Amino acid sequence: MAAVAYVEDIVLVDRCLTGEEAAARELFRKHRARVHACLYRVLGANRDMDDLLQDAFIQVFQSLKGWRAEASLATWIDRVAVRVAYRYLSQRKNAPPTLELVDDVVAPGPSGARRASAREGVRRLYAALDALPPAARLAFALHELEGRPMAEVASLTGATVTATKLRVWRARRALTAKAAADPVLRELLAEGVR
Amino acid sequence: MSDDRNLVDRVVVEPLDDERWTAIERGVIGALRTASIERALADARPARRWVWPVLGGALAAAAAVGVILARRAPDRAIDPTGDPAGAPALAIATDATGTRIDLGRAVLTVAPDTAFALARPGGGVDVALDHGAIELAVAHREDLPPVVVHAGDVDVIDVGTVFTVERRADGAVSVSVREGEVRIERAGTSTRVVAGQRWAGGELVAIDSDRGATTGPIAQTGAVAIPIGGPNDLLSRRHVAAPPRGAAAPHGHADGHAARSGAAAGIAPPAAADPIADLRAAIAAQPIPAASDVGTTDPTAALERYRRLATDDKGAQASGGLYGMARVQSLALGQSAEALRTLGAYVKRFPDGAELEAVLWLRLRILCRGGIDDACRAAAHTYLGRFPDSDRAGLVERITVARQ
Repeated sequence: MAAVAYVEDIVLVDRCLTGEEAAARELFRKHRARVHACLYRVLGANRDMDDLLQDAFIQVFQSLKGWRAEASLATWIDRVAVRVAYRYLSQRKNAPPTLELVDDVVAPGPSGARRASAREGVRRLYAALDALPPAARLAFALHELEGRPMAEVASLTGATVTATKLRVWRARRALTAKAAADPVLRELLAEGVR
Repeated sequence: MSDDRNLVDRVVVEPLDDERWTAIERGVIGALRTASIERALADARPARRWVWPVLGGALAAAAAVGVILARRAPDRAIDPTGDPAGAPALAIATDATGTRIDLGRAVLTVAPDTAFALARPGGGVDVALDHGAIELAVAHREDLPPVVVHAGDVDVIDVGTVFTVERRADGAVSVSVREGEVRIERAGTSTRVVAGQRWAGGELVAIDSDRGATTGPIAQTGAVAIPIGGPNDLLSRRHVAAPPRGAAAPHGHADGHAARSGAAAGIAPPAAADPIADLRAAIAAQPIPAASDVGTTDPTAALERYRRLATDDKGAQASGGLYGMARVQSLALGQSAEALRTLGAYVKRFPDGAELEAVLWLRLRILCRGGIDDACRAAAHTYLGRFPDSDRAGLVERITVARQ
């Protein structure tokens, strides 16, 4: 099955490289959800998300010639998405946070309040992540929020596994420190370790 | 380290709605189209790979019809890439479909039933026209040798413009200048012909290449003004007798023999019978948004001021400067190639600039001047991808599906 997907990817990329617009649309639709999920988990809800997605796919198509079929196309596209996220984080270091989670109307009853609290926890998690260096945030988000193995995170970010572990550890330490003074964030993280 | 693994479930990705995905996809595909055009523009500077098959095909056609025009060959170097190599001139003849030869900084659009010899002395372009018509779009030559067309006893010399030279079977030569200017030398006298003028048998008449209307005689009267791109424009004749859609005709020869006989008879049906001519007229009729006012009507001075804005300023001033540059280069100075480069720079530097629609429209208009070809259609796709709701969208959509 994997071999079939691999061949399909090669054929699809080949079609894209010949300038076939239908192939470009097919590739876009096939991978857009995963790229979106990756950017979302790294950056949080973001008003620049549409532009970032567009930017990521433009870069994918611009550098498609460079895909050597050594890694799966999905992994290669993930790498592009990670680069886009990293550049975005690096460039907006001094800019105000762009979090834009909209507060839901809290549904009556305990479950509604719980959802609102969880939502607020996520908002505060990303606010805390905003304070981290881009590389640490990226490693933490890919490992802890996307659930990718450490080796894969290292590969995606172009770092060694040791450096990646160190970045994730530092990010966790910073979040734990933040959570000590923030009960909502503490609750989110506590639920996370349950 | 995996204590927080359950955070994966805590951060729920909020899906995007279809409308947003559609907009993103449109943006990506639009950017790809723009990029492909920029690549094509960049590739156009050196000789293109397909020039060789085109020239090869043209040579074969020449052999088939027995047209030999190599009498000027001994003293000419020839190389489509522009490098003189001491080779003889190429003898080229077109059949009923005409052809287009891209030499990098000069593009020749050859009318049906035309025969000429082409040489590249010292990187220049030397055309000896035996009969028929050729439109030449020539980028500014700077320090390159000029483009010269010999038609009988008339020499047309150009350093950066778009013009058409026709030599009829009876030997009569006419030159129509759409952009820039050319110098015509004949019997020791030199005549300057500027954009919007047509020279025929020593007489000059005014034409309005954009509106396709005669604006009146300039010098000696008595000659008939033929609007470029209009129904009587020689280069449009290849379209006038196109068979109805679906009629049997070999690929690339849609005009068939009817076009050949129409051209031979010199009869052109009304413009309404030619959808391509209609389309070109509709493109020409569309206004081009004005650029910011730089306080002068002199094109050269305006170009310099726009250039200063583009290079010294930032943001809206700079984007306005780039657009103004392209507009002056294209409309006032007839420098289409420079204008296209400037427009390419605009798209790259200001992908969301305030003048983007005007920029893409101007680019489309320039690329469609030579006819509804692949570059023209690609420009239309790019425009439509970015501005699908524009007032011009209907017209542009027609361009994307037009075939000539």
